[in-house]
Amino acid sequence: MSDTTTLKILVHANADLSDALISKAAGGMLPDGGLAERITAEYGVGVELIHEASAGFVALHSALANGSAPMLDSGANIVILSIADDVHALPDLGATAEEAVHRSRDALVGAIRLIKQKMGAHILVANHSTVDPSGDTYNYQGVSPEPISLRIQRLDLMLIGVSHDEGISIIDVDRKVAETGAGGNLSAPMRYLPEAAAIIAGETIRVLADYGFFDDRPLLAQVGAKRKQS
Amino acid sequence: MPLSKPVNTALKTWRTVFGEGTVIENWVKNRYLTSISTEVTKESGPGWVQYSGRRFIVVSESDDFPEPRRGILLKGGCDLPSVFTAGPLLRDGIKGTIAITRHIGGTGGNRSDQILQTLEDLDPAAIAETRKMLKMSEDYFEPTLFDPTFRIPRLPEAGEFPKNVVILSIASDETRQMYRHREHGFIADPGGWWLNQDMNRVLENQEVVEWFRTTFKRIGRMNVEDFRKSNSQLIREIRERLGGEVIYYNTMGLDPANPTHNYQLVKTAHSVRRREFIIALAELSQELGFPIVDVDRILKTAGVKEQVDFAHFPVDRMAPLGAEVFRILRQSELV
Repeated sequence: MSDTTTLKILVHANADLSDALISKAAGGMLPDGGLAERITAEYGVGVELIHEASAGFVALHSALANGSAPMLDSGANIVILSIADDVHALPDLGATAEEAVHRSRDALVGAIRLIKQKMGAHILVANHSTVDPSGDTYNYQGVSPEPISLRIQRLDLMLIGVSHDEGISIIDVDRKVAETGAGGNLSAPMRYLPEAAAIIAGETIRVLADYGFFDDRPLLAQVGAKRKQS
Repeated sequence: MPLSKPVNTALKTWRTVFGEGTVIENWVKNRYLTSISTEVTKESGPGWVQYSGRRFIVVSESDDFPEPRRGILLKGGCDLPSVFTAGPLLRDGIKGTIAITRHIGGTGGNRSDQILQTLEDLDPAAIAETRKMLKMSEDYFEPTLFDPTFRIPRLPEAGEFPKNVVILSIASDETRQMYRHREHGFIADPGGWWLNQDMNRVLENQEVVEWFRTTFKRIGRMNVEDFRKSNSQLIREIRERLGGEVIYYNTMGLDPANPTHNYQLVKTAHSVRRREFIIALAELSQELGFPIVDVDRILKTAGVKEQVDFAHFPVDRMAPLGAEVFRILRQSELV
């Protein structure tokens, strides 16, 4: 890492993601070490992992806007968010699904911009597996609220658009869990068993490594700078 | 390995050396490839009999194919043959006869707007010319999907079946490029023929290529709004004309092994389109009340690491899809 000796990673999420990034000893699900321990072991980089609970993108945006968000004083280099709370809240975020997704997106984009502006931190947002282990809906007529798998699908799609527009990276939990098979890796929607949790941590490390956080060649930052110059 | 593979490989080698359409090539085609496609196997057990061929299965309680007779028609691409794996599940306690068959036509004729187009009055001369130039089947522009019944050509003794259920897939709407006739306005997808051909054969006649370029213009892939409109109308047409129910296959939303985590520099992501179409299909189901085989859920549950792309899954993934079709058919009291 180029200019700091300790990387501060702030996980603003609930158990859906914190379980997968925090060691069992620290209250998470990973018996062989969480994100911090694995990065240190693999790359020799010191990591301070800060965890704070989430109440969704609308609440986060509001707290960042009025200056009350605890993360503002954290000095975090990297902020990791999750769509999970908005998946749960989606039926209450708008009169229609489309309206609810727009509201969630607007809040996320607002939060991203404020985090960049006020903290200068890099932002990663985790999507989630669309698989509901107990879900078997095949006809959607009259199903209210919408099945959680459909709500996850909506926000996973929304997140790709936000990545495109705002340049944030996605921890693609949906793909990684699907590759290994969601069948034996979920205890409930967006709740992962230890093997999947370790895979999610591994994917997070891959994304961070891609940015060059663990060496002196920050690849994505260079690409972005070049585009701005041209 | 099926016999068709070595036979086709041998024919390709033969053509390279001796050219196309020789007496030997035609003899081999008639002797081997035709018999492969006409092969019918029969299995039986207590209270059931099943006949299976390349594009169909018939499950019945006896060899005289008794009533009630129900027909299930598949209209779509590479994913729909997984329906045939529901056959063994249909055997247990079967009353009457159930036939499942693929609709005629290849990959290039399954987009919902193409199917709807067959209900329109198209210029006979223009479509005849297009069929000839692009080697399309006689039925390509015909509304055969809306015929009230179907027969199994390889099993004529089974008789005629009503189209109680039509199973469609959204994969063609999501992936296929389309071309519009510049003068007469109808659409066509020549890629269906190109798909399984050597490009030397496709491009051997430059006159055809030039004719296509000047006669048709590219309109590309379907957008999600057109997808909604087109399928909404298609469902209504099938229900009204056939009195049957419609079941859709959705498709897997993600690209296996695609490590993209930042989409800022990505111009077009097909996984985005697929997710849009999956959501749009669920919304259509909310509105029109038809069942969906959730291919996305089933494949992700089983694991997709071995998949080379979103649409072509290993053979062992067929059975869970067939089981889901069976569950839907039973719970919806369609069989």
